Amino acid sequence: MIRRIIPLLMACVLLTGCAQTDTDSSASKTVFAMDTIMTLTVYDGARADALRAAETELTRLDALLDRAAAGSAVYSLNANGTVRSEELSALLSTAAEIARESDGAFDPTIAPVLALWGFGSGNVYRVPGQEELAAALDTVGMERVTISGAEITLPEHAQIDLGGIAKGYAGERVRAIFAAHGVTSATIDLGGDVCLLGNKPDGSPWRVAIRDPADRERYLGVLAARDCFIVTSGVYERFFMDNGVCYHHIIDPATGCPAASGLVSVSVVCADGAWADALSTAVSVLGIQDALALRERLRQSVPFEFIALTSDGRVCYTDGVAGTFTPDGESGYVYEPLC
Amino acid sequence: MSMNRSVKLKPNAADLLIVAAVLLLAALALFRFFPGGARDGAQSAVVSIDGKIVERLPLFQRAQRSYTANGYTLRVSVEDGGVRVAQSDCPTQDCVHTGVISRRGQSIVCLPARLTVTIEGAPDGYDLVVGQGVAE
Repeated sequence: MIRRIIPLLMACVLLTGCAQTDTDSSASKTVFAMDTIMTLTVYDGARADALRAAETELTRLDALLDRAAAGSAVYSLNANGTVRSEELSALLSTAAEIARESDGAFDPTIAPVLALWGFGSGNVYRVPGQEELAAALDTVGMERVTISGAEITLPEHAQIDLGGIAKGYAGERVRAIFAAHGVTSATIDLGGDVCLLGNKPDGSPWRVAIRDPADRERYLGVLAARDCFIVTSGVYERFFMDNGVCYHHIIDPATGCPAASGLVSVSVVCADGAWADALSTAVSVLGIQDALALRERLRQSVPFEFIALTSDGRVCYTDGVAGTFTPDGESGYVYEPLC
Repeated sequence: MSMNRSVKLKPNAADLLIVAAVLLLAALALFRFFPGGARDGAQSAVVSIDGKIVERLPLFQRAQRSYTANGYTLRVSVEDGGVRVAQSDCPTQDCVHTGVISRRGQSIVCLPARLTVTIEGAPDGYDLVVGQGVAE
């Protein structure tokens, strides 16, 4: 009988061994900030303190960068044409660098044009007329914003919107706070964009699914990644129909009209949060070929990869993720590695 | 002699009992740790009030939350990979009667409070999802 009981006991041990999970060692927090719901999950370090500090920081950044909040640095800058803020100045310097590198495909001074289309806050969607569009476009140009130390000055009529970079920057700040609290394994979900800190608690990379914009229950594929940001921009996020034409919110600063790059959704993988965020917009505006050229230019300074869904049903991905991106065989798309 | 040996190797009732016990334990373990067929903690319960998302609760983590909406207070409980409305002072109690939900696409609706809980999540085996920033 003993001989029969031992295998039974062994089987039980094996079963419980397999079922062991890390659920007890994680702590998470949901934070409302930057017009989205952020979910922070930490797996080690001073978890409770790290989460508390991160929430405080996100609330502070919201108050600094929200252009709609009276009293924020960005609000003051837009209202008065000038503001003193060391932090905003540093962030705008980064924004200016990305604008330069991307030939203006990413440009936070596009705000007045966005507002014309109704993509600002609280506006009504409409197709603007040629003249008003031209007038608004005249105010666009990050290179004309003067940044001198902590002092920022806008040219006349110019307006700034950091919607395309603030979330990534916030993720960057949260990541730094986590690291300072001894956290080596964490995820920061910024409302559809993620920052991955370290590996999963079991030492394997995080597995991040990229949603198919055409069907919320489907996925373009899964990316295995660690220590990076994955930020997605999509024309489907905000759009309106007018006379049967779809107008989306990713405005090409060169034309003032919705970008016609043929890209539906772009996920950028980059070690830096602010860059990842801004580059997802830039790639959406540029299209595959120009985005590849931009990637080549940044190869030494800010290497990044991207996975893009085109309007003709192809999922194109750069060679840096070729080994870590697993296409979803059931998606119905054609997968195309880019060289 | 050889005949005898082969007879001994034939499974008897006790062996079958052990096989049955192991299978039962395996089934129980599966049910306990992977309810709804999810393979890890990628799914979350999305709580919405008046159609607006108020919170996403990861299903892999125990949680108790109270929501007050349109004059009613509901206690939502996440445990064992599922979510349920444990208590509500609404008149219909439909939300409480729905019981535990744990599969993607399932939902609990409390009409009086205009509160919904839906399961949203990555396919099995994924940790996170990007590109869900569709205007909600």
